Amino acid sequence: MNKKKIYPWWFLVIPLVLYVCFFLFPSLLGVFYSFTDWNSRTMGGKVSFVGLKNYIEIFTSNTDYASGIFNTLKFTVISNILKLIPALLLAIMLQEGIRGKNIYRTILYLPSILPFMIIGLTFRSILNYNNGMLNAVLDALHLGFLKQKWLSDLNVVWKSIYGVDAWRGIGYVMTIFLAGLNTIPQTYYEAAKIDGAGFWQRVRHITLPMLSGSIMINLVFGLTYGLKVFDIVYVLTNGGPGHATEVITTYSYQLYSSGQYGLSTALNTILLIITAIVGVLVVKVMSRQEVQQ
Amino acid sequence: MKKKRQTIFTGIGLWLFSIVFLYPIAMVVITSFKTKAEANILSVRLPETWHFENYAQVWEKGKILQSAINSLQISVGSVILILCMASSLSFILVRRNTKGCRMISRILTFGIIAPMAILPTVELLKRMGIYGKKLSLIPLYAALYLPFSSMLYSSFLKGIPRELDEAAAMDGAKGMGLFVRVIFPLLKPITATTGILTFMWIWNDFQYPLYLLNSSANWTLPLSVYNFYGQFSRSWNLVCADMVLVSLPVVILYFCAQKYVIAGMTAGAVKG
Repeated sequence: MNKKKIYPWWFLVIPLVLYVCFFLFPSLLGVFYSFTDWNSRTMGGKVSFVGLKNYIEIFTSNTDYASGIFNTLKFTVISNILKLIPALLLAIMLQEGIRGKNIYRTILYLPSILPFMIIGLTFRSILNYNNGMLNAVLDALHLGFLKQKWLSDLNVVWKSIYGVDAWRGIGYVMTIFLAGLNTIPQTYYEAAKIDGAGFWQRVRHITLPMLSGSIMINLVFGLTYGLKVFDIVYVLTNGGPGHATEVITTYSYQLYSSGQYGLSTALNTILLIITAIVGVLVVKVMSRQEVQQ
Repeated sequence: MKKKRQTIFTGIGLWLFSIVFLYPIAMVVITSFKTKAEANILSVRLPETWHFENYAQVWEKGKILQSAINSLQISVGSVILILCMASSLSFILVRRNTKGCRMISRILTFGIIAPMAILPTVELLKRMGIYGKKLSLIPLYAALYLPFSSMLYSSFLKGIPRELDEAAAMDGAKGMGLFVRVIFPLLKPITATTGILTFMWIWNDFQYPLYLLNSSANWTLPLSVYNFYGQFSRSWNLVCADMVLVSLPVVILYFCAQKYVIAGMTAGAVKG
């Protein structure tokens, strides 16, 4: 049978043209612009090359763009740990045969589908120092000493962001784990129980190895989400207090607003490089795992 | 006995967790029915009388209808484009499976990982003369979510036996006819999943609209909330009503189509 006639190549044309035009091409264009003096005053294509000037400025400027890069990495690592471990424990708890598993899953997944904008504004009010709900609840429970300036104290503000991000994301991660747990045959656990394996031993020797697929998926989604994070930081703190919670994308947006397009694309290019490195690493680890299996 | 106690502890733990998850949502919904004075201190205490008229007020002042139409046009347009493109693209890539096809798949994977380059996109749209037009977001979202959608379609297509195509081809169905009449109907479950997931993402997104829609007449719902909050930050009852109205479509969609949302994630997780 003639493959070429059954599966015509022209099916590929429109999707690929669109993908190249609106995704790949802008990405490459961004790398090009990051070496120019592109700004709000250079009109229509008359940009000139400035070499590495934008990149040098990122690491030497008075505005601490480098800390934005560091914050992005920090957020990616910590926010993922804070979501993966509780989500895994919750998934195991639900799988252990609790009644109403689907109801819990529905509730815990609910925040993941709400618009970021709304989550951000809601928590901005909940975390308000003077009349926010969190401090009021702490007062009511006689835990007043735990009260904090959640969004304006430099030592606390990142914890608030991690907390809100975990609130939003745990259900999503947990649902992927639950799907993975469902594929593990119950007989494995029964056999292990007969051999006298305790709860943690079963988790360590059956659940975790059998769950490697779901762990990988969660890691890939989590890492790319963390590196590209914008919404939650923008709405919750907008980079403040001061510049304490700026990440790459919020700086990038600010530079766009102030017309320093070259610098903004340079920051974005750095983000592109970081995500590419992380992406390649993840794919390498993944394919090695497949070989082992 | 030990088992029973364990179950009770797990149950209590899960209930506490659920309360933490539901409390903020309940607070917003309840506050949306209060008076301005009652809403000053946010809590889950029930209002003295339920003020349904808050919603009518928000509907007028928040320009909800215009923003809802914008959101709907952009989301539905993008989703239809994504579904058509991702399904046909994956069909050819999976079935042909040549070296070139695998190369294309790898280039598409780049799109899942890489951040979008918004500034050059703005420039591109300006050159094309469509910057600021709301419909310009449709091809952008389509390009952004094409890689992920193709991934879902590809893993589903691998489960449909190739013999089916060959049998259909014997009966004279080739190319477009084969795809539209034989294959696409079989893809219904994954089409539902992909459609619902991308719809929710696009509906909730505000990064693209923030950069690309400068006139408030074109704003999508999430942007309109931000604007509404700016104007009415002292009337939390109205802000909450606005937030409820904006979230309602995705929440309803989620409850009606939960099966498909979970199915999509299961497909990814099992495949690994």
